[in-house]
Amino acid sequence: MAYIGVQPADAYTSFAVQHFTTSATTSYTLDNPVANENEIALFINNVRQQPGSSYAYTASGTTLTLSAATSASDTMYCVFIGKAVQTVTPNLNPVTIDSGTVATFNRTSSFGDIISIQKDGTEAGSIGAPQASVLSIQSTGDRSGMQFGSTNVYPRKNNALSDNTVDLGQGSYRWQDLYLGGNIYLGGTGSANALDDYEEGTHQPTVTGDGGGTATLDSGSNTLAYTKIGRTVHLTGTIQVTSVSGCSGNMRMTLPFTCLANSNGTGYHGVMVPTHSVNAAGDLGVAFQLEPNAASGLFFGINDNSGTSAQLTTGYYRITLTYQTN
Amino acid sequence: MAITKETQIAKIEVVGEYKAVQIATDTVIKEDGVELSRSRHRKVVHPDQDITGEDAEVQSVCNAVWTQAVRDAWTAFQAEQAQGV
Repeated sequence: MAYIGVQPADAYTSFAVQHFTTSATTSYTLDNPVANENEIALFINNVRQQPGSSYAYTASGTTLTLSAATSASDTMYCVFIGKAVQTVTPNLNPVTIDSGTVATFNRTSSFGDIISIQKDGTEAGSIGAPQASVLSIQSTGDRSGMQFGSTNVYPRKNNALSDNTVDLGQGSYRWQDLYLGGNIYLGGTGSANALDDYEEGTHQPTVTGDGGGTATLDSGSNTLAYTKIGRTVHLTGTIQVTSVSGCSGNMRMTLPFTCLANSNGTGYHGVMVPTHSVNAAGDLGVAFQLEPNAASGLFFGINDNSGTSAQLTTGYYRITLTYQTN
Repeated sequence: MAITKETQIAKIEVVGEYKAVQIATDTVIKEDGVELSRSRHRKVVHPDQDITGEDAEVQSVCNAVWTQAVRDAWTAFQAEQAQGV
């Protein structure tokens, strides 16, 4: 069992003896305060004196009063028997044990605070057990704290669990990085409020003909940058198609993530694609249409007052695309 | 002081009805073993693609999920995709 504070010093207790320089007086001062005369044994000329106001002496505090004055030739001493005088050297590391639990604080029956932490007698906070097998740490009064549950760390305030009142960090005192393996819930606690992913990266697309063949991209313009926030993918960059020989049909370009399956609000959607040095062959422009369930899309030529035409042409294609993924 | 560059497969995700396999590859730059920077590259492979050049781990996942039924479904789906904007 460990101790908190200095080790009990019973083994080092000794009784103190005080020798007086006597004179013609009834009043002397004790080295150690006493409650009354019974706490000392007083000897004059080696004869023990009887304590009490009706007898040889009284004592209170450090005041020793004799019923009759001594003389300078008397010898007088007292032994402190009521209060042992201890010499204890405070341990600078008082809570120390080689192994095992260093200290146990056991509150029985009810739940509540177990350790009160105070400054000059005023509580600053406490550590307690608000429920079975649950630890809480909190500042006192209307201040914050935490409670440790089985799979949750809960905020506490004003000595109780608290919803939506305690911040993590502050404008001038922020935590640094936050590493999460799950979701962040913003604006609500439902699945629609869950932000489950954020990722930045690049994608080097492969361009093929949907009827066959593989196009060639310039090595300096063959990479797109993406940012994925939740299920939304933002893709941007320029590719330069330098050769489409051997390709047929429309140009198909791969994407960094699959496009969400076709349903209301998702699936087949496309964007116009600014181009440079692309022979649109009479088309109004070039569009890129995503392919649901696939990580790719097709380039089409947009006709005036008509359908689309195959887009299979070299040149620069400047992509800025937002789509949803699984 | 040794600067090293290595690539790591960060994620292999199997997505959707046609078991598209999304691959996230990280390029990690280290100095004396301490990571200095990390950048991510993405690609997706589908059941009709040649995966012989992919990492063995990716090939293992693809071969596990791309059953013949999945391959056939993907081929049929691709055939339906000839739709203009």
